[in-house]
Amino acid sequence: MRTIKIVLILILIFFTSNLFYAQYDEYEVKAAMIGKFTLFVDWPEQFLEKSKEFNICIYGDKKLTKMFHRIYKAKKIKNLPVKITNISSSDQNIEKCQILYIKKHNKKKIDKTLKRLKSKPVLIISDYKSLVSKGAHIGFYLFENKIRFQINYKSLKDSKISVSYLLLRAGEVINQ
Amino acid sequence: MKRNLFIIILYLLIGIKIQAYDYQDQQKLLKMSLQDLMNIKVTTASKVEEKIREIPASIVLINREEIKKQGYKSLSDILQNIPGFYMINDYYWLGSENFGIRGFFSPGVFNDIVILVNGVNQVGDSYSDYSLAKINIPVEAIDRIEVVRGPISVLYGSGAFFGAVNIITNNTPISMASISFGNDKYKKLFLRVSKVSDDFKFTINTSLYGDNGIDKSFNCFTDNYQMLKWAGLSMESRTKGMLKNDRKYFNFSGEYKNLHFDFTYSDTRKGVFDGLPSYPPGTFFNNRSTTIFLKYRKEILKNLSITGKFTYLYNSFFWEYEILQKDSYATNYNNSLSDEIELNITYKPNDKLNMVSGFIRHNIFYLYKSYDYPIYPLEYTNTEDVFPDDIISDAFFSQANYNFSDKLKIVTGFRLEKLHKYKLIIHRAKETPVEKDITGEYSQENIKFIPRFALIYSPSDFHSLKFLYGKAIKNPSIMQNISQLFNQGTTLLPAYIETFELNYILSPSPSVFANISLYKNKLDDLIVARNIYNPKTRTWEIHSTNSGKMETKGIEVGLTILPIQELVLSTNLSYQKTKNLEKGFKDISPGYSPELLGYLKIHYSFKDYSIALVGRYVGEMKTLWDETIINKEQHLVRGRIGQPSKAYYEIDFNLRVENFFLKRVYLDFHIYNLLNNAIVYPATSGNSWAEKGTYGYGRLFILSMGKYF
Repeated sequence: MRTIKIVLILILIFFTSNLFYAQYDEYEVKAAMIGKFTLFVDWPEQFLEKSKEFNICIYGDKKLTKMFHRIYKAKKIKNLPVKITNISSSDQNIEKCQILYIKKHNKKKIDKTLKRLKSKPVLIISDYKSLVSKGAHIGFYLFENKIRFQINYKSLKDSKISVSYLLLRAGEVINQ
Repeated sequence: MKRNLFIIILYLLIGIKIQAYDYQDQQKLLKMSLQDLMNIKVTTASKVEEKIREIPASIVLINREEIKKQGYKSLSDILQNIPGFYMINDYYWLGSENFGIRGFFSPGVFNDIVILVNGVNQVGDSYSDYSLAKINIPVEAIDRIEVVRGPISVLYGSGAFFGAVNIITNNTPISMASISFGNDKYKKLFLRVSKVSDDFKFTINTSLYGDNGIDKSFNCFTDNYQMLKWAGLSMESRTKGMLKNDRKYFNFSGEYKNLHFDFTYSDTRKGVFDGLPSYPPGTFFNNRSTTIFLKYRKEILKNLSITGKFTYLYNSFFWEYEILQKDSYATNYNNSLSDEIELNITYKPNDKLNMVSGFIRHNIFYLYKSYDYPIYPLEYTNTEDVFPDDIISDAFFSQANYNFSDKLKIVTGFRLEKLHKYKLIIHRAKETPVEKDITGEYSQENIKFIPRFALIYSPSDFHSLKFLYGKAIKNPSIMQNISQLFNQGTTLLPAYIETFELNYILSPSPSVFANISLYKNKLDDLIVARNIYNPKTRTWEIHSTNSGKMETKGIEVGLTILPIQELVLSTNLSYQKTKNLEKGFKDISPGYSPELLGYLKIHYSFKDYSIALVGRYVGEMKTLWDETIINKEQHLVRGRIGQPSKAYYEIDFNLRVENFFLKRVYLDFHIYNLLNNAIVYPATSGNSWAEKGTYGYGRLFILSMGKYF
């Protein structure tokens, strides 16, 4: 009986965990893609020089912030250690973010935030295509269960963030 | 107590294992390239998976931005600039705007590549064709095109000889309207409305288009004065107005949660030459098609999902002939109705293995053809082709994608396909003294097995090496089988292609992208149609056999660099050599197979302005070698049906200005064939009377204005 239990435990550990193992979660992939975007994007030199850390700010979602913490723990971007912060629209430090990722939002508050960050070198990435037309730089969307993204090229240029043509080719570019 | 402890330990151990897996997999994501991340199927609360695409020999992606900046004005513009593709326009009906790919060209109809629009296969049932005149998509509607090169019959069935073109028109929430004018009475109106919310989205694309066609003297096409006179023309007669194009297009595409719906209507009327030069005002080919498509996805378990698709296709052709005399009253009708059901299952048991399997049934439940040529012998009058049975083909496919490690993955798959037998009846020359009924049956005894294999090695984000092997088949079309029955020929079999390809991609920095491909294609059982003159009946008969056999070896080299952010330079060279291995023809080089193709794109953008130059070079091409042709002395001889076409190059220019006086308004100025070079396509068997070749457009100016909403 004891032997049977041990065998059962081992079977459950090694085989059922494969069943429980989900495919990649949408937000895990997006978190990884955000890191890849930084390979194709350059911030103004003076903006990065002043920073001691590379700040990825998550707007209004604590659970997502925790996930980003796990993924980017002890990692570097642009030779700066990555720091993940959860912020709200009224946060004074929002302009120090290199990347602002917006998952959930309150419509009025986010319009204010976009206005405040207009022409600032903060790369704004959103889960809503509608925000891209309002001034966010990159917007994720799903197509046939694969993640795609739109790029607002004009907003990027206004923010003085330069973007590689290869990223523009990979995404859907809209101009305003 | 001991039992509870046992259960607690069990949960803890499983929980720890899952957590450990979660963290490892998240770290794996960070090591993947952006392209790989974009290829991952993700799970969300409400969405489900669908079938996975195979990894192609090479894939060319063109998005809306590139279409805009390069100034492409039509789908044929885009395809002509894909490495390995070259256009031959012989002004035949379904075969005009036909494409050769990697040195291989099928005259008659364009059917060497599958074209899908928003996932809907655009095949024409009667001729198994993908005529651009029928597909008819305005270029302004296109959000993205993925050109997958390589035989991929595993997923797309018969016809995917050289790959597939996936055109997406419902992906970008842009609304716009535009108007275009140009010389040769070029005009186009386009309107698009697109709305997106979290659960529901739709896109409507609609367009009206017209042009007058080329205006050339018939002596550019032929020196055969006698033939022109016989056709009611003179050497000075011109093609003006005879090759007009008028097209209408409407598409609605909507998605609500897991349900997708697509409706398309397309109407084309174009001037053609059908075997002979036309008598004014010209011979016109009319095509109307309607497609309705439904797709539904459902997640059964976390790693198992199912997708069902239903397609309804209606296609109608109608020819109005003006040949040999005015009011020749010759007509030709062709109608088909079909539906297709597809069921796919996707299963991912763990993070390394991903499988998709599917079943497809294509059913042509109505097909009818009739023609009447009073100007020809009685055998060609008042004839109907009838198909009393449904024409059904069934297919099962399965594909697996396995990741050995972060750097190494394989894709392997197969397809089983069966075309069920069907009856054919020809009611020939009804109500005439030579009336006759001819009945026959077409059947393929064996189930076709089609394999595919791909190995991809990506040591880093910067380069990857792919080895690919695949086979594809191309069944004879229904109309080819009818023609065989009419001419009492043998039963035609499917043609085969087998491809080996090695592809290397290098991107050492975001500003440099290079790729090189080496490939070998073996083609067998190709259907070769030859016009044989029957001196007894004094008519030409088409004799088709599966005698064609070819082998192609080629290399493609491409480079894209961005010396500065605003400037993009892209070039591609393709060299291929094709040998004719058909018995008795080994010393005869194949026709329509240019050895060298070149492409160059330069694009510069500054603020709201962008300028582009797009150039392409197509090497010399010979025409078809035929066993029975009539030479200038009116003798029957063996030889080429026409003169070789000279190598040519074409440069197109585009200037685009965004926010032209008003926000969101653009102005676009395009010049086709900037240097006004003569573009001559080699004569094909459809219009062999044009032995000097057929002409492409000379310099053409197009001015467009549009507004985004």
